[in-house]
This record gives sequence, structure tokens and C-alpha cells, in this order.
Amino acid sequence: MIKFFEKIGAFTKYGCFVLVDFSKLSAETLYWIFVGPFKKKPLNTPHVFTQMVFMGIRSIVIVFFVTFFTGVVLAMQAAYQLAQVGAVVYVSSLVSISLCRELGPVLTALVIAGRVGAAITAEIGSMKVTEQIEALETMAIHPVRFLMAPKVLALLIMLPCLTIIGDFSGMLGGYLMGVFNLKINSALYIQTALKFLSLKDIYTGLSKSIVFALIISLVGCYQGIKTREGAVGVGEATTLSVVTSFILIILADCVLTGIYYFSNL
Amino acid sequence: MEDKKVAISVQNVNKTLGDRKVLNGINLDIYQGETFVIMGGSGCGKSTLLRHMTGALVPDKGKVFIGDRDLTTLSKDEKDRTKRKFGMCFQSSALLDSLSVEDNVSLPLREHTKLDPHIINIIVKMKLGLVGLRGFEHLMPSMLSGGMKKRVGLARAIAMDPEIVFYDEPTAGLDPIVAAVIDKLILDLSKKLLITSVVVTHDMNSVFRIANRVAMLHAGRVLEIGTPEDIKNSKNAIVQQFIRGETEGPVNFIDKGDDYLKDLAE
Repeated sequence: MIKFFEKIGAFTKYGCFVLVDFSKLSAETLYWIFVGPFKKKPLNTPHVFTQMVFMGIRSIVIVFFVTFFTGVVLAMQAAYQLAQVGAVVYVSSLVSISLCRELGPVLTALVIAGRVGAAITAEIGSMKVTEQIEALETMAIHPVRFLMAPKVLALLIMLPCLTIIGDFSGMLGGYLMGVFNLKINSALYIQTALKFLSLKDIYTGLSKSIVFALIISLVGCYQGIKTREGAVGVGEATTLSVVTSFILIILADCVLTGIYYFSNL
Repeated sequence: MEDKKVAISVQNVNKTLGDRKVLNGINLDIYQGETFVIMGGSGCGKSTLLRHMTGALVPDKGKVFIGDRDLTTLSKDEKDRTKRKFGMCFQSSALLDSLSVEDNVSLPLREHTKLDPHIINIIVKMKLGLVGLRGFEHLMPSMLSGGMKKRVGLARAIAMDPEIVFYDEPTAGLDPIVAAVIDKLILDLSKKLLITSVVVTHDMNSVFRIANRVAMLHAGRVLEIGTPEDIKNSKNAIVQQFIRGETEGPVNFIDKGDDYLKDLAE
């Protein structure tokens, strides 16, 4: 019995340690992004752009496919229900609102967590185990400023962009389904979709994607820098990074949706 | 040696990693301009000691002075400023594998100086020339052999014209000729540029080729310290076993204890 409590104690202690450690790294990263450049310590700009290309441009195809087919599926499922009350035309608004408020940001974030979060952890993790991080520190080059902050900034810029692309391609999927299968008039579909979609639906969605970008990149960096013991360590860290990001994204989504819902946003 | 200025002073450094006491009260003075070799068996704490001198590890107890500044009490900014005075050549070279040879060598210059890119380019070429790698600027580290990587690492370590260069097993895993070339480089750098060199190694040929003074570490303590001649003539049995590379002696790897049979049966 005492052992059981000991275990709970040890687990709590470790949890607090990780939380404090993670917060420190996050604060440091945000410092280098938003304060550092004004203190004559700018970020590694070429690195920011390379990362933007890797995280953003090269993710467009996968984001497109995932959200496009989600839009198609959503339209079919909605039509199945709405047909019973003869309101098939509202498929368009249902698809557009649920994509912009919820599915667009969350699905894009999950896809990016798998693609980019894993890459961040694997890259930083293997740099850690091959002494490259230590080499940077020995050269008095701050790894957080040099390596992590550019990645976080790049994703902060690119994830909202990808989310917009995701919203559009999802709506395109819904539109094609609605017009060609459900035989809704094209103009009517677009009109209904836009009539119910308000600006706040879009910016609440985008504000979520900013939070998700922070989660994916910071968790990726943290797991990377905490990597231990060779190739196995890198593998474990990468898995842990993706799993943690997934859970935190859904959790943050729940909290944010709650906030928007109860504050009538 | 006595009238020379002390470049690095390690005072009563203790360090426990996990539950193992790796360094147990180390005291060393390294003088300016000398080539100081730290030798000892694997796991005796020599790399750990080097990491204390570079500020990568902080001792549990004791002090590490670089010049007159105590690394253990400096603020982050001051520590960074002190770090710019030294270069480090890693055992695994530790080149950034996403950057070309040229970018690796120029990295500290680009980060810490406001030099014109053109001048940085010239410096990089000169440093690569010093290690015999002119014309390799545009290759990626993955395209280089182990010896070449070590030399690029060395070029990077001396890019900022440091006062002190640390070498972690610079000749480990290299063929004898490349090892001799690296040794000659270390000697040349010390003589031409008056760099203080601290070399961690267990390659005995290398030790006697380059060292002005040698410290032998064993089980986290300094066993003996002196010129290569002093070490060669040492009366300490462990030192003698180590430099001759004998299996029989005070350090025994093959355990013949009474619990051996019991251990096997478990």
C-alpha cells in the first residue's frame, strides 16, 4: 500500500517537474521570437524560411486530401439526417460552419502533428544524441534561439495558413458532393453556406490553430531536447511527441470551444 | 613552466552522475600555451572533466577557473562571453549535419561577429587550408570520412581564433597516419597560434607525441601529473600498466571473484 502511494508521489513529482521544465522552455522560445529580435539578437532567418517551406508548402497536399474527403463525408452524413426533415439545402451551412469552427483547425493540426511534430522531435533528438546540441552550446550559440525558435515561429505562421486551405478544400468537398450528388443548385449552395457563416466562425477557428501550432512545435522541441540514449531514445521521443501533441490538441480544442461557447463567441 | 600564467584551474571538482561518483576531488592547473593531455581508461571521468572545463556540466562541488573567471558562478551572458574564447573538437566531430562544411566552420563567425560575409568566406578558406581541406567547402558532413570530419571539427573549433582548444579523443577511431596528421595539427596550432590545448585521449602514441604535461586520471582522481618523461618513469603500478597496455596488473577487467560461479548460476 505504501508503495502505491510512493508511486503516486513519484509520478506527481515527475509530472510537476516536466510541467515546470516545459513552461521554462516555452517561455524561453517565445522570448527569442518576440523579444530577442529587439535586443539585437535576431532569429536565424534562412532557417525560418526553410522550415516554413517544409512545414507549410510541403504539407498542402496532405492537408488538402484529408479535409477534402472530410468535407465529402460530412456532406453525405448531414444529407442523410437532413433529408428526413426535408432540409437538404442546409448541408452547405452545416459543412462550412463545422469545418471553419472545428474540423478544419483540428484535422489540420492533427495531420501536422503527425508530419511536422514528429520531424521536429526526430531532428532535434538526433542532434542531441550526436552531441550537435552540445557543440552549439560550446560555441555559445543558444540552441533554443538557433534551432527551436525558428521552428516555432515558422509553424505559428504556417498552421493558420494551412487551416485556411483546409477550410476551403473541405468546403470544396462538401460543395462537389452537394451539387453533383445531392443536386443542390450551385448558387443556392454557395449562398446558403455564406449566409450562415460569420466572420467569428472563421477567426475562432484560426485562433485555435495558433494555439495548436504552439502545442505541436513546443511539444516537438521539448521531447527532442529531452531525448536520451541513442536511436531507441529518438524513436521513443518521437512517438511521445506525437501522442502528447494529439492529446493536448484535443484537450485544448475542448477548452477553447468551451470558452467560445459559454462566452457566446 | 612555473612562471607561466594559469589558463585553466580546476579546483576540488566533484561530480556524481546517476549514483556513480565520476569525479572525486580533481585539482589541476593548466598553463597558457601548453599542450596538456588528460589520459586514463574508459569511464575514468576524463570526458566528464573536459565537459566541466567547457561549462557543459556544472560541478556538484568545486570551482573551474578560465583565466580569473569562475565558470561555475558566471551569469549566462558572461559564460557565453567566456565560451567564445575557446573552441572544442568533439569525439564524434559533432558537425551540424544539415549544414555544409563551409557553413559549419563559419557558423561561430556568423553568430558572434559582424564581419562581412566576404571576409568570413576568406577566414573559412584559411581555416580549412590549415587542416588540409581546401576545396571541400561545399560538401555535406555525411559525404566526409571520419578523419575529414574530425579535421572540419578542428577547423570549426579554431574559427574564432580561440585562446584555448579542447580536444575530446581527437585520434580515436582514425588510422595511424591520419592520427599523426591530427597530432601534428594540434602541435602546429599550439606553436603557431600560441593556443592552449587540452587533449583527452587514451592513445599512448599521441600522448607522447604532443604532450607538454600529462595528467593520469583513475577512478575520478588525478593519479599522477607531470611531463611525459615523469609519466614514463612513474613508479605507480596503474600508470605503468596503462602506458604499457598490459592485461595483468592492479586494474583487472577479468573478474575472478568467489561470487563468479554464484553469479552464473543465478
